[in-house]
Amino acid sequence: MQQSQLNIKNLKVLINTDHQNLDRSLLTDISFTLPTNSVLYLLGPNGAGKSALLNSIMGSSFYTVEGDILLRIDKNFVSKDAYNDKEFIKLLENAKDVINISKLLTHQRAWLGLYLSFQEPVNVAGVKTIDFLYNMYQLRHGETSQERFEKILKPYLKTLQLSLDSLYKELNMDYSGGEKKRLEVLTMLLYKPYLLMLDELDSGLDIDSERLIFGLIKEYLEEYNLSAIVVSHNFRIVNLLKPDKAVVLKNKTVAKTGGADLVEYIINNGYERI
Amino acid sequence: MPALTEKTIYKISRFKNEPRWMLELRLKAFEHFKKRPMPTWGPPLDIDFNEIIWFKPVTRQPLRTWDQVPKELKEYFEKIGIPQAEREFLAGVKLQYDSSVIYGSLKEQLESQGVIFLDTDTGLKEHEDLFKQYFGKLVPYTDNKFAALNTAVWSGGSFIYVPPGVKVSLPLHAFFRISKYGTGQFERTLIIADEGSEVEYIEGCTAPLEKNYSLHAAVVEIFVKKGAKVKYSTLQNWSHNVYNLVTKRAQVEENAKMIWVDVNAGSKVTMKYPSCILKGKNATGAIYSLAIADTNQFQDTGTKMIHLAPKTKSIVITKAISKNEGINNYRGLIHISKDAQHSVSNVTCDALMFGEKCKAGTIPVNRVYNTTSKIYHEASISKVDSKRLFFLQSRGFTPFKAKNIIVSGFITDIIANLPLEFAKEFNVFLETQLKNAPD
Repeated sequence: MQQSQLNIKNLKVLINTDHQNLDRSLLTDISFTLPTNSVLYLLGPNGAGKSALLNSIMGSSFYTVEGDILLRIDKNFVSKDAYNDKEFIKLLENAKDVINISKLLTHQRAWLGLYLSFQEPVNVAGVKTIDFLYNMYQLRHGETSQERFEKILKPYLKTLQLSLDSLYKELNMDYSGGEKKRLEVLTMLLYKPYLLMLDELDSGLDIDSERLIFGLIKEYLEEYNLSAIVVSHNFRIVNLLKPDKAVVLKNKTVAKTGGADLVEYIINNGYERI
Repeated sequence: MPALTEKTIYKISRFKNEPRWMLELRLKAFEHFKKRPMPTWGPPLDIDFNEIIWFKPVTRQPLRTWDQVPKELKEYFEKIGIPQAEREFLAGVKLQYDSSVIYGSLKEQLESQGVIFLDTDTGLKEHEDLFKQYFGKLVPYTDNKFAALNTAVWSGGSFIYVPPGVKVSLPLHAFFRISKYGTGQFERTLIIADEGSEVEYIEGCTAPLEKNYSLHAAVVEIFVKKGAKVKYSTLQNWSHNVYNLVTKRAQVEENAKMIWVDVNAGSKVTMKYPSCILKGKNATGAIYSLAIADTNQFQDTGTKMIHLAPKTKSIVITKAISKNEGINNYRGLIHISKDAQHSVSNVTCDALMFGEKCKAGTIPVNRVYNTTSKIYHEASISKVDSKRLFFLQSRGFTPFKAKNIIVSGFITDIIANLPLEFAKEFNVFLETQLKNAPD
């Protein structure tokens, strides 16, 4: 039997809000597994809660979750900065291969290698992109000289057609839509994630950028035998990043689970009859 | 403690052995102080003038011994890495800061350049002519109630004269050396930068200092002559019972430049608007300020830029951070007179808020009395929003580091203008400030 990378069991997602009369429940009874070394397409009509689910897995404070999120961990992918948090390291040492991350804080999930690429890139005024990347890189991989960091950057910049100069702009400000997406991929590759969650990374990309970016992601996943969860409304990328599994969300829960054929079915028939 | 009377003023003046005219000025200022009502604008001022110690001769007892200094303060000193002698002075263990070793060579160097650098009391004794010419000419006692109070009872502060063409930077430890009466309550600082000279002056300390007084009413007057340049940096972190009411003003002549860098944390109420009177053609005035307000703190800060000559330029960058229940106000006046043709003023005032209960406001007044000048005014209020924090945390930054990176980005213009001497200290200071900021 194939091992699971991520195992979501009876998950309930509630939105945190001050409004009294609002139905807070977004998703109920969500259960599925993401096998190791595989690509899972998380599908569903607009508003089905795909982003909410990815954000909840990342630990967003916008949501409250009940249930289990079991992650198979690999200590080679744990951030260096995590070792400054003794309690967290103790937890890690006591865990065997699988750890329930549903109560962990966002940055602790990130330490384990969880990586969510955001639908809307978030800007931070006054912070240069290069400084953000350098800080992030060191927290993840340990102290690195500025010189060495620039050396590491170089090949990525070349592949992604980004200039070093452009990294001296403020984080996600004054970049074009396509540049922002390429920055996101640069960030991802520098981060060296363990589990990728791509939330409409392809939106707004031209066809060449799409090929470039998803080609890089495919290469990365294959190199380290890693898994990814993909949310997209653009089925062109199915050809670039082939699905091994599909989960369809509808009416607040998992409506159907299947393989590549389920994706194919939805491309042809939509969500109506699911 | 008895209320302030003329008798007290006679006593202060006699103790200092001052010239007659200074005593008379003090008395006139005192008369004005008594008559002048409390300001009717700005933060509430609930000051009991009967509880104020008007003058402390240097012979008073130390506040405490080094062993009595709180552990947190000692640790803070350790972190920011300031010399033991300064620590003892700052913590009130020593009344006078003994820096003869560090200061000795500096003093020689300054004297050989003709620079006068004295505490204001000694300055008055040795350079009465300069005092007659400049003292109280930029901030007259009639300016405001607290300037009147300061003029009546002033003690300590710095007096600096820089001769034409001389460039000098007065490092921080000089500030401690000069403060004969400690970082006094009613400091009076007078700086004269003669033609083509340059001077950089730093005052303050980021350590949260406990003082045994609750009112700090200082006056700073700076004369920037033709082609001269003055940079005056302040970093203050008063204890939370202090009313910090300071009048700072510079007069800037032709082709001259004045830069204020002003960082205010701590205090109960701060009212401070470092100003520039741009009197000569091509004069430039700039202020880079940061105010941090926590619960029970009201920071009412800003500036006045008065353009009186053609082609004058002013730059105002103010940043305010409010956390928990703190209140920040930007209060600014940009005045471009009829004669100040082709002048430009750039104003940016930004506020950053931590939590739901803090407040930030801006009260700008912009006046242009000619058609060739421009004022650019930008203001923003932003929240440290959970979206940004979540994004940074999802990239492995702890909540604390995420807050720190957002704030560092917010005040990047201020950091760029801080004196290098403050750099290390400032990082520690900022981290301490953010510790109790809500997520």
